[in-house]
Amino acid sequence: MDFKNFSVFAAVALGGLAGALVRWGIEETLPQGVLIVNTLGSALLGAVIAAWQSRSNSARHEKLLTGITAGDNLGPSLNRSSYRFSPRFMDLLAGFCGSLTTFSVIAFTSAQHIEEGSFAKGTGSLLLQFALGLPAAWLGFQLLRRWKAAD
Amino acid sequence: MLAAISFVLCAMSATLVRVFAAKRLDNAVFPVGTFAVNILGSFALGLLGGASTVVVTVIGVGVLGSLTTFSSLTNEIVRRCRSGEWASAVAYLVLSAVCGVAAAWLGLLIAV
Repeated sequence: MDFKNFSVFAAVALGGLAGALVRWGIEETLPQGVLIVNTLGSALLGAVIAAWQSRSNSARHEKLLTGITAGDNLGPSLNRSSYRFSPRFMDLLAGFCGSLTTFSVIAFTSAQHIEEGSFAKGTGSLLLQFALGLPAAWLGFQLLRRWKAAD
Repeated sequence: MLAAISFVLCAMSATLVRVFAAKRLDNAVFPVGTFAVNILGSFALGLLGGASTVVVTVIGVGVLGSLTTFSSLTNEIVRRCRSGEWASAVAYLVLSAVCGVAAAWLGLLIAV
């Protein structure tokens, strides 16, 4: 990942902008909008990471744009030839997933409930985010890995 | 129009800051960069106090929404679980949740 390369910046920034706009739209229109974007975004990033790992064996120890280390102890990497997305598209998706999902809003909502005296509501709303987000991330990763393997 | 332009610029730069922090500071022991932006963003949103003006939309949704992230957090926890690093997965989850809410709460208290 070369940060000197302007196209990387452009792809990440544009992906981030798209993610923020989609998040804003869903937040404004749907009830539990943040829960929806966080769950979908977690699943999508899981798939992006799985796709990244299948891209090349040389990237096994490379750190992704998201800061997540690719590779290590995740089982055999898939064949290089199964890769079909451009690296720049992956950067765009990494920026998109990160900005589509948000942490500040869920921490704030939880803090607000607690401030209003409802500790159960505060912890419950935060736990629900993780209860859906973690399985979603796992599922996104697993599904793309299976799909790639079947290719 | 000004608000729209600010939103676009803010969302793009906040994304770059987040990605840069993750790229530079996250390490195998602890994702320092992602953790830091999440906690700082939560604190700043607490300071804004949930008011509903255009400025809050631009800063709250555009800047802080994009500065903080949930998908990196969940996927990093899943990665740790997959490699059997259960203790560090749980530690990262609990620290993020507790510090994030505490930071937002602190921001709220200061703002009031």
